Amino acid sequence: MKLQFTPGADGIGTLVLSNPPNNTFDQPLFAQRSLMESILNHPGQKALILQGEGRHFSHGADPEKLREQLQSHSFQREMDGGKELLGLIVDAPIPILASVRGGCLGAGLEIALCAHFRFAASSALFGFPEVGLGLITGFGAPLFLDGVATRRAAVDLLLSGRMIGAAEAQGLGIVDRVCSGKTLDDDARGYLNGIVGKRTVSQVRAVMESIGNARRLPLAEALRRETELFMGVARGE
Amino acid sequence: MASESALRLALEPDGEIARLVLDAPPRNEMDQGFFHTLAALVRTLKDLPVRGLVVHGAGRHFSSGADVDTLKAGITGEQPERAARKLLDATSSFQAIAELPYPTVAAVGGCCLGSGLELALACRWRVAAANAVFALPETSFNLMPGCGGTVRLPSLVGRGRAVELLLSGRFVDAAEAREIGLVDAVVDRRDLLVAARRLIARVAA
Repeated sequence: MKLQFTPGADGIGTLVLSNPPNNTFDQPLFAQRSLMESILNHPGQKALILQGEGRHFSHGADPEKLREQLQSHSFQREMDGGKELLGLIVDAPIPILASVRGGCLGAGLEIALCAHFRFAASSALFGFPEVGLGLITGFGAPLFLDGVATRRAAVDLLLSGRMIGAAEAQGLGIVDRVCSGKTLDDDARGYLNGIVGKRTVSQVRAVMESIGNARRLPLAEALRRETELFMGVARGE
Repeated sequence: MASESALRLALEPDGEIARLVLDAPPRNEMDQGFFHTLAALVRTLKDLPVRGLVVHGAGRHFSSGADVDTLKAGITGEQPERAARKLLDATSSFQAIAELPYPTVAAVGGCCLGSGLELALACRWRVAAANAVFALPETSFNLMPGCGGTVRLPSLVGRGRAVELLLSGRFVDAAEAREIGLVDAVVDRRDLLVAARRLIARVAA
C-alpha cells in the first residue's frame, strides 16, 4: 500500500490509498507513522479527501498475506501500529472526508469509518467480509465512533459479512451522502469547501483540537483548553 | 448598557420548578451584566429546593448570544487577560448549570445562537419550539465558540456533524435539530414552557 498525498491549492488535499487494483493492505502497519503525521499536518491545508486509486476504495487486508504474517512475532505490534494510524485519522487536525467508489471492505471500511464524513458513489459496496474467511475485523470496526451505526446494524454487518450498497449504508448512518459516480469528486470537494473554505488554517485546527479534547481530556480541562484556543484564534495566532 | 435585569430567576407558584429567564427582549443578548448576574445566580441555584430548572428567553427568542464586536474589542484591547478571565468565568457559570443536582431543560424559541446555544447545551435537555433556529456562528466572525460549545456539541450530534456545524457556522432549524440529536423534542411555540415543565415532572418523578 502506498499513500499518495497531493496538497490542494484551495487547502483541500487528496490522500490516495494506492495498491491497485483493489488497494489491499499488504501488512497491518500500512504506512510509517511519521508519513501519516506529516500528511495530516501539511502546512496550509484545511481539509483532506481520502480515496482509493482507480475503481475501488479498498478491499482491506490481503487474506493470504495476512495468514503468512499471523505466524510472525511482531504481528501484534504491527496491528497496534495500524490501529495507531487509524487513531491519527480520528484525531486529525483537519476534517477528513472518505470519498468511496467501488468496494470499501474490511480494513478499508474501518479506515473510512475513522474519517469525519463519508460520501459514496451510488455503486459503492460496503461490508466486513472477514467472517467469511474465518477471521474477524482487526482494526476495531469503529462503527460506534460517531454513533453512526446502531448495535443491531453492527452485529448484522460484522457477523453476516454481507455486502450492502450505498443506499443501505446511508440508511444505516454509515454513509452521509450518496452521489452519482460522475459528481462524487466535485460533491466531496464542494462539501468540504463549504465547511472550511472561508476559515483560516488556525481556526480549523483550533476547532478540531477542541472537538477532539472533548473525548481525550477530562471535561474541566477540555473547557479550559477551549478558552485558550479561543483566545489564540481571536488574536489571529 | 449592562443591566442587572438581563437575567432573572423566578419560581413557579407551586415552588417546585425554577425558571431562569433571559430577560432582555427582543434578542436577550448576553452582555456583561448578564454574565455578572449569572455568576451570582448559579450559587443560589445550587441549593434551591426545587425539582427542576427551565431556562428560557423572554418573548420570541431564546438568545442571540454575546455581541461579537464587544467581545472582539475586549480581546484585542489592552487587557486580553481580563477578557480571558471573563470567558473562563462564563464557562464556569455554564458548567455550574451543567452540574446542578436536579433536571435542567432549555426551552428554546426563536434564535438560539452562539453563547445562547452554549447555555442551552449546558442543560441536560433541550425542548424547541417549531420556530427555533440554532447555530454556533462564531467561526464566521473569525472566532470560535469559547463557552463549552466545541466540547459539548460532539457528544450530542457526533464528531462529524459537530465538525460541520462548528466550522460552517450554519443555521439549523428545529426539525433538523431534532433529527441530529441537538434537541430532544419539538413542540408548538405556545406549548414550549408546558412541555419543558412536563419533561421535568416526568424525569423527576
